[in-house]
Amino acid sequence: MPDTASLSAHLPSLRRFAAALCGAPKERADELVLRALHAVLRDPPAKNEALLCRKLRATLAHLAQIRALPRPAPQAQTHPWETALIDLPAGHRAALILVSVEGCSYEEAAQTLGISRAVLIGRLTAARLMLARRMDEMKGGAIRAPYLRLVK
Amino acid sequence: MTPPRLITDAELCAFLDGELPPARASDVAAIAQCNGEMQSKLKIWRAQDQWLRATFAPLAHEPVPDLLTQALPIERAPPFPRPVESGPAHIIPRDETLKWKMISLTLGALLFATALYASGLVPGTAHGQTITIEKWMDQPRSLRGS
Repeated sequence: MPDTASLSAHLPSLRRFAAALCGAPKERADELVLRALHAVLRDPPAKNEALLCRKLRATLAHLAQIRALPRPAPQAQTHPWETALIDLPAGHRAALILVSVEGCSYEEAAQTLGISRAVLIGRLTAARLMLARRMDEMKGGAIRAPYLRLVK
Repeated sequence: MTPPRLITDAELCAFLDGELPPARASDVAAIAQCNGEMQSKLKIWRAQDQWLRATFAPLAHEPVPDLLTQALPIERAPPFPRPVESGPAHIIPRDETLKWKMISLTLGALLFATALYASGLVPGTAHGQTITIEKWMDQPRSLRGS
């Protein structure tokens, strides 16, 4: 059983990850973290903090994916990128958040999501291009960033 | 003339995240300097990353709600350490028990020998004259005594 101190230390970053995945009010992110905690503590890994953290994040990403979180109601001060982020496929969003927000290396992020490094890079690139394209669409501009096009 | 080198979006992405090998990273940096499209992509992606970090990073500094802290397992105090070598006070070690057994056995034997001697059952220790049983049987009944 992992000790309470190590679990408590992970809670703030888990909340941040969940909030970024949901793009929703914090209450829903907290609910997601709670479900992940219950799921992981039912069968906790051996005393290894890195493994525990990875398992919690993986469970969060999985929960966010299978629960197909409904799109939050748009608010007046919602940033256009926030809307674009929610429109991304769950797997792409998780890859982008793990690398850009959580600061994971490609290796760590791939292990967390249970995918290969190549698939992770593909999702990450696609997520960045899709975000840029959505932003362009919102601004009413032309689609400038082609999807996975080779450039010289 | 050097052949044109291709850089994929995936490579550009890995370059942005510092995940390219150093040799390839310097190649990509050199090519990106001369390519306006790549530069604009890098600029947009950097802006995305900055926005993501600025939006979600403060959440990690907020206090965690009780709902989550109460879900953590309660730590139990470690079990009280039992003295392994000395053992509980009321139990006497095996060596001590054996010693007292030997002492009590010796005292018991001494007591038994003293009692035997005092009762006159040991030959030659009885009070008065000692005679054989045949002689005793030959004596008239009145002289036999009790």
